Amino acid sequence: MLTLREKYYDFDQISSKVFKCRRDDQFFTMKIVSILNEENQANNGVPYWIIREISILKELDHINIVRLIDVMTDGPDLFLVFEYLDNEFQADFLKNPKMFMYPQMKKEFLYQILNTVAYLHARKILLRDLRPENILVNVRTQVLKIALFGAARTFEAPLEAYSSSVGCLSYRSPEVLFQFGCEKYSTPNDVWAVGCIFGEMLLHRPLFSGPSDVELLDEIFTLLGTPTEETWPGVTSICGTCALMGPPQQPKDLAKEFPMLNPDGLDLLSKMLCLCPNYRISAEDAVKHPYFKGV
Amino acid sequence: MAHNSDSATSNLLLLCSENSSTCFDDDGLECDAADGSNSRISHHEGGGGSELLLACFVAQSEEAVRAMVEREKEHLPRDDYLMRLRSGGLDLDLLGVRKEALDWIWKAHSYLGFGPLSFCLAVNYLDRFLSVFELPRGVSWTVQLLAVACLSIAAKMEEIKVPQSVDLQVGELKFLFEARTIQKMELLVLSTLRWKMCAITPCSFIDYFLVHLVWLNGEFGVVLEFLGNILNESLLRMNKMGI
Repeated sequence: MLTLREKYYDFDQISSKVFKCRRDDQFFTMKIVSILNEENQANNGVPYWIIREISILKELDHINIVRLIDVMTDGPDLFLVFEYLDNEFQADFLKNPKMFMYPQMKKEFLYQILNTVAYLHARKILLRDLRPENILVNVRTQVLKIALFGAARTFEAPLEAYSSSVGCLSYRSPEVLFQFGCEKYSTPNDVWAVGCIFGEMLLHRPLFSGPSDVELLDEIFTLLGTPTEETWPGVTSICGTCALMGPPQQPKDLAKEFPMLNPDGLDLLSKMLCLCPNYRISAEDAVKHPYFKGV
Repeated sequence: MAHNSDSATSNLLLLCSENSSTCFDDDGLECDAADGSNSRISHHEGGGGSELLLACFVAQSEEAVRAMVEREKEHLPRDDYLMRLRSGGLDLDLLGVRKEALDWIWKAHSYLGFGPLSFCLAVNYLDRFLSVFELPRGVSWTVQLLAVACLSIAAKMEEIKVPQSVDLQVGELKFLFEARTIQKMELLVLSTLRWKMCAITPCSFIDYFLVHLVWLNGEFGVVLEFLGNILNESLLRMNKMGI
């Protein structure tokens, strides 16, 4: 087996643990992860989450996912070799002003996100934490890449922006918010997050931004109406907080809230932002929605 | 089984949690904190990704199963492995080595109360490793160390509660390895198997066939569970016998 330095060369440091490197004519981004941890690593070998995450990343091969190409070991350090994304790729894609100049491009990127989510769901993988910060786009080629497993930092996403958004709730679905910390994620939660990103693309500001669970739920219900037993069977039994939120609210007319969106787009948005997770559209069906005709 | 059903979806393999993201962060401090808490919380509440086994029992589409059959090829021992096991010949006593390792894995697995999938994974890792890596001859402790490493990785992939790696060494063992040694062996196994640890095992196909069997019978639920148990049991026996 070749050693790290035999296989890769021309190391160029990007941040303390991230390097750009080269093999033959190709560039890669290398991330160093130490498996040592004072607390438990001396007793417990390679941490379980590192084994799980790497082995799952190794199975994924999708144009819209930042690809893990190689894993090298050297002592207690792991070197994760990722596909290299050049400077044209910018993280936190909604902050890119060019995004909003071409409506067609938004649709194209939304499609790529949904397509990736459908790919992951078919493999029983949940994103759980899909946020615009983890999405990189190349506006010129119109290629979008989702950085899984915290790899966003690998691509020079600004440190502050990343850290401050770790506690960000904006993209969490009502069913997850209802559980207050007891996180029970499932596939509809990811679709909700894409719905929020869709809304954010259109409004040029986060669709929901409540600083706390309760405020966020209130914002969601203000737009989409308070759920009832008819719209979300069983909601009264899980919704201990509904009572805290004052009188029930009627859903707003999405066509007025999103005047820029055509009827197909409105239909898709409302299906992705369906309060009841069981009735929410799946990523697989969303990709086939008429809104994407011609993409 | 509907994709929307709560039980089905909640069993999906959970990835890319906030904790997982931070564990890959550059910042050393943040990394340590995340590591520690992640390990504790997830191991006790099963929040990390421990649902792999259960994920195995969600209905699969024909397309997904076809992809699995395709993917299975990447998780098999090298082609000449079976021949080498049978012939013995110039090789070190490969069959004996396998039997010795399997014997311990089986006993330890059952003593530790692990689920069937971690057993299948451990055996998969063992066979794949033996098929490509030449163990030094006449050094009997390497076989035992390999068995411990395979079971340890399998448990970490699959189990909700995993004992410290030194505590995996149960039963009558000639050697007792330090955590550091086990870690080194884990790394050797991981890199030799190119970190492809989400192996497709017979378990992966059980629910597909179950769903089809059950549809034939027009029954659901109870039958499914019953058949699942039987199949799991027989699978374990088969593996134990080295079939």
